Amino acid sequence: MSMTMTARSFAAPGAAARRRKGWSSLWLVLGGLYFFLPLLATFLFSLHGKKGALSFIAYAHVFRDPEFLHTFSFSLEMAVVTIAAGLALMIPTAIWVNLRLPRARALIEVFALLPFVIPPIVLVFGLIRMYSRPPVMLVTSPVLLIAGYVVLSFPYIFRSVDAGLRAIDLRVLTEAAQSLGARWSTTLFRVVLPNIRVSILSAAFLTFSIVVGELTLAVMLAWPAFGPYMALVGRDLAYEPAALAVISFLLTWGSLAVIQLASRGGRGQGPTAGGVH
Amino acid sequence: MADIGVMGEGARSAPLSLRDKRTPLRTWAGLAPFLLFALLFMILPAGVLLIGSFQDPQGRFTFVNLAHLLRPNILHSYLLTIEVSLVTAVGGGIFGFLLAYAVTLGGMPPGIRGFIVTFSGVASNFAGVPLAFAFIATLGRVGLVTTLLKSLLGISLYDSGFNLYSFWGLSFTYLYFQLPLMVLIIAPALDGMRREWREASENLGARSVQYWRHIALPILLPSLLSSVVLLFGNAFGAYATAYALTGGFINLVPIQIGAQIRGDVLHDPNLGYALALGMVVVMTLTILGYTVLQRRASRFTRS
Amino acid sequence: MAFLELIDVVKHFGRHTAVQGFSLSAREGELISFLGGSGCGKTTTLRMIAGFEVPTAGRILISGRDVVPVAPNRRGVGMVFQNYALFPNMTVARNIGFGLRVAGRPGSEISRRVDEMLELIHMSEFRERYPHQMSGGQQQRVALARALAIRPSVLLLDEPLSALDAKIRVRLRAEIRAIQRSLGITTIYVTHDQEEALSISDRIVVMKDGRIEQVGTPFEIYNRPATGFVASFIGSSNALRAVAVHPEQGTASVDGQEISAARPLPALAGQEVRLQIRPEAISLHNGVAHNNHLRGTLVNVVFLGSIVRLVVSTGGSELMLDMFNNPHLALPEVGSTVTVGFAPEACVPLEMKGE
Repeated sequence: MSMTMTARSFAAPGAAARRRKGWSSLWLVLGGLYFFLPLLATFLFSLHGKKGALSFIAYAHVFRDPEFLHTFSFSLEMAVVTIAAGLALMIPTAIWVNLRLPRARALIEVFALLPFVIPPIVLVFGLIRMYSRPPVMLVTSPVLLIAGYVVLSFPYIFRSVDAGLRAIDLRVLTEAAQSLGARWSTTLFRVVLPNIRVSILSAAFLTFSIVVGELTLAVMLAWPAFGPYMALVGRDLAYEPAALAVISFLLTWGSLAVIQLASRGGRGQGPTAGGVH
Repeated sequence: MADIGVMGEGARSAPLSLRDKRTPLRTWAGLAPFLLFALLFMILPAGVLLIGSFQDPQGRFTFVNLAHLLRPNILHSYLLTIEVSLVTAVGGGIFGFLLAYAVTLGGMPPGIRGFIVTFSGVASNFAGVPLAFAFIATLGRVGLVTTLLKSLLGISLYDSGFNLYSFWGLSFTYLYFQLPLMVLIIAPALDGMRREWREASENLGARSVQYWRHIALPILLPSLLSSVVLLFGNAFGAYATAYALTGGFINLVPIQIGAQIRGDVLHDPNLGYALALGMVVVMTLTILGYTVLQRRASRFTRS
Repeated sequence: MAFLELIDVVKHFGRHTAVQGFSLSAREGELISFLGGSGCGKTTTLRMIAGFEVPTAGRILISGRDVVPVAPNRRGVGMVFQNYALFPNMTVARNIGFGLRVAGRPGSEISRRVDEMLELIHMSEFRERYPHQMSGGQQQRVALARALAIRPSVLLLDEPLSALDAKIRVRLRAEIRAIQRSLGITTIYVTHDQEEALSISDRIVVMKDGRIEQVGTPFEIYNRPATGFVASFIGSSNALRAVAVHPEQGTASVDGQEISAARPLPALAGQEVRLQIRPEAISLHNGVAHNNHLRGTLVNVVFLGSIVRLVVSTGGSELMLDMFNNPHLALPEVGSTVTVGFAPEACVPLEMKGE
């Protein structure tokens, strides 16, 4: 009967949701602009190598530069070795934690904070001071660089592998394998590893993207890596740096896309956030 | 046919069996490789720096290096680094929160969230040299946006005082990895905001503002604070981006340390150690703050 | 006079119709249950009354005023959610006082009302506790107090006890009913638990696929189900297979023995029908003249405590027959032939598959 209340009532329920959506769209658009403009600008900038016309000449310069190939393949090598070393170190550790010592997981998580508490610039400082005199002269050996890279990447490797092991219920699988008479090496290589393939792949690609673009360790330890090469190019040339940035971005994006696709097949195994700067 | 396998003594044999009751020491021995690695390449190097910061070049114990930290130049670089980290932490925190809100609770189509999260994963990795180049290509002196603004709108960025290679330019660049990191950290917390709390508050007569003031923000505050603290630490330790963008010409603590390592300045490694120590102290405080606030945040998700 | 009225309420979600043609009049002080399985539309209808969903068509009147255009925070209905939805950052007192606080009431009034509500739910010692320090049942009582504190004109409960243990559920539903009665507040109670609905409601609305199957008192719903769905949803019952003889007159035959259903059968002569009969409506050796009688074999005797259930096989069906336990009862032997009897009115034809 009386409709006086409706005059004071707020807009109907649908309107509140619409207002919320309006603001959300705004933040989304602003965020999108902030993130895509630099990417677009970099790409367009990289096409300005030739005066007057858009061309890929900057890319041609980059790919023809012998230093590019040299440093890129060096970083690639380092990445592969780091991945191998990191996996060889962390997979057994993760398996041990899952099977025998769940309490240690918290301890390892504390260690995983160290690369944050001791940023790469400080880490490399310490590594140099410690290993630049006898008896342990590692500072000229690539071992030190790789060790540094493993320090940077082991938290991600561990978390990825650990998540994968938890998803497959490691204990039950290994007990089943054992009851069927398998030795531990058989169990490891034929039962455990194949089932955490996706986690391993995920960890590998994340490590790859960390190592290839890394600057701090490489430049301080004076290695001809891709990061320092890019910095050098940036100092001297104008359009080639943009081309390198595009290439680097595609590599990173590509690696993470591979992880995303691969992890669609696995349970509980996927990429993690963060990186090195 | 059952292969009884390598059953025997020692922690290395049959490591996958649970039924043996190994003594705790033997069990911890399985972590030996990792612990050794951590010792050799994280703890000891840090220790060397720690000790070195209390020594003079002849190796005698001294507080001189710590006193040198109070030199105006050094103090200024700490302050500057703190400023940059604070600005990008709060800025990245606010805008990252808004973006995360938009894709979780904000009623956007479901596919958008996945895309933003994936992109955030990539963008939080896209730091260092390529990021610096990207921003130079965008907002550098002949960057795309700079020239567009001049040709289309007649606005000259650099004449009005903007400079990419300065505090604000650097901060703006840092946001590129701070913002996505915030999105990734805070999205789970936003997921934990139950729809029923909002409905219950509406049902009881509260307007949107009141809901945020009395319920949502109090619940989210610990997560927000802990994330901002993490972002602070993230920016404080950053070296590559600053180096690539400014060529080492900005007076941040990481840059100072880098200069010490290369002997670019007065060759005083012990000062470098003190700088490094100072940085580690800041980072430790950061991580402690983060952990404490995270514990408080999880109180609400338990109910 | 109807206090809460829903008139031809319809709700579409895209192409899916969640609620159709829903009309109901609730008197002041009534407790009406919406009862049905998942997806029957009961929660959607409740949320439309609360204002969290907007009806595609139809009107909802509270005290004569159409509330459909009114925002949910202005309707004066109190809602209790399935998982309590207590604000985790507030104590019990602040939770209960929240509605009054956002309305700008003075602190003293809020405090008094909170105390009143705590008394009502017998939880005064819990004033300063936080939700995570309480059990589910305690949290739900606080949620109820919170909804009542704002003196709503209608109280809405969305499966409030589903998340709780069975024993607590029984105790709490009696408490809720007692409070509701003492306050005389019109209440809509959504549940999928028919025992709950039967025990506390003034009237029950049985729903299926977005439609109302039947509205009635618990007694009516149980004893005079209007459709086969209602009959099979409520309580336990038998499904007796028979062949229709004279469908218009309601006679059918089970293994050659003729019975009467006292109402038309939904089948042609010679087709199979299924008749629903309550276990307590059947008895052994019934001597009542106009009752149906069937001969069958006793296949099982199940002792359920206060009820003894006999299972009799006849004409291809197994009938359950409930009788009160009596220590001096002399029951026939398993395997022996028995005669069971039931009234014609007790037979309700069940919908055939595909209808």
